[in-house]
Amino acid sequence: MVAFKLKTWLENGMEYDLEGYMERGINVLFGASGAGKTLLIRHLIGLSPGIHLQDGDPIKTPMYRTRNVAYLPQGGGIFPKLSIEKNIFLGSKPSKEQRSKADSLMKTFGLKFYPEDPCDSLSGGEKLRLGLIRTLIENSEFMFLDEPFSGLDPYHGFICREAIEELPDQDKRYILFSTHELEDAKMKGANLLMIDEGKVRKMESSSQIRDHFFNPGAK
Amino acid sequence: MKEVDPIVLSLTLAFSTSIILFFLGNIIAYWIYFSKGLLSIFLRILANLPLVLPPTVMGFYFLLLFSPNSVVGGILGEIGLTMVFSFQGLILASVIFGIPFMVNPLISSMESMPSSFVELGMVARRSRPFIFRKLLFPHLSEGLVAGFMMSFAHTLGEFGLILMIGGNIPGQTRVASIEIYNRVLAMDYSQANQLSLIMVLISIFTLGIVFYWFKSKRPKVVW
Repeated sequence: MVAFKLKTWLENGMEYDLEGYMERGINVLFGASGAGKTLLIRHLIGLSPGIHLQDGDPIKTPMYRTRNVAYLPQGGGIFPKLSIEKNIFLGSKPSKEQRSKADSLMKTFGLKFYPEDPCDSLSGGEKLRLGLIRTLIENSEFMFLDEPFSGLDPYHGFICREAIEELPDQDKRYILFSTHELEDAKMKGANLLMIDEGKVRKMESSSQIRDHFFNPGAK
Repeated sequence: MKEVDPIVLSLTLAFSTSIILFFLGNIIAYWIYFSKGLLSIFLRILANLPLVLPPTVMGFYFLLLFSPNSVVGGILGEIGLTMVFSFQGLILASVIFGIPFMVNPLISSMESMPSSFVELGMVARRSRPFIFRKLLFPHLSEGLVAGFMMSFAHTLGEFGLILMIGGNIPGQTRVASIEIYNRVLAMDYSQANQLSLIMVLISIFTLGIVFYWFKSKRPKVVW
């Protein structure tokens, strides 16, 4: 379990007092648009400063420097002028093993491209799936996915959710993703979190989350 | 021996300056982009000084620094490099003077990229030079073309600085802009007109390349 605590303000005066914990396995982060999902993810990774982890002092070294972190930014974070392979391996040369792993993930996710193909004409859904392959290729201890399923067609949405749900070593890693789909609350063993009015609340079921969206602020 | 034509001299100067700036500009842009706080501001000021300073001010300090009686000029003189009133001096001065024209398009190219470009590299623990070379540089082509052509065009049109530090030596530092000035002073308007016309054509051609290149990169819109 990783406990986190973050007090921060935005320039518009919006105050965040986010306190909660990530469990091993899958953590699902809900919240209306603009509630602070991306903000929390960025602070957890350490791309923005000021978060306390494990009830300790505010951490000075960002998490990505000390742990193996995989990050999927909203929209996939694809480099349009780099090839498919360079996008997956972030400019590095992959080993034979890594390359074959990438190949099989490409097949699973229905991406029919060659490694040297350019990325400037990928569709939104293809970008997301390619970004997802990048985050899955290393067996990172921490995985932060910012809306990994937004804009996927139903079939590929299903495939991608299944890939996350079936990730090996769930008990050894922390997977956190943000979403707008209530269905995602039904992932097995998922720790459900909801950001609302600058606070993190732990949720029990998708129906509770639904009620919260329709009646925000109610306890 | 026939002296080198002023137009050829101008083109040679502009071309060698832009080539050097192409490499130097990337190093400076990298440095500015990844520096933080006051250092970043200081570096930006330094890189943009040539934009605001009169060429005579730059030329004056250049003369002080590189005259054979100064420390730097003395040392360079020992190894046989004269920077004052020489062609290599013109190249050096034009390079310094052209820095903002190369660096600014590169910086604005980098700053208009999504922040995820750098962040993904950071999270994957890639080094900064790696992030620049492998992730950012491939997306810099527009800034590179703009920077190269702008420093080329600017060097072609430079007058004050060249007059200050190059003098007016035929075949060495008498570039087109200086020669036109000479011709006008000598009331030789037909020669001045000829040279000016060639410069106008070269400038139109240079800018034409830039705008044609950028236009061909944009997606076509049907109205």
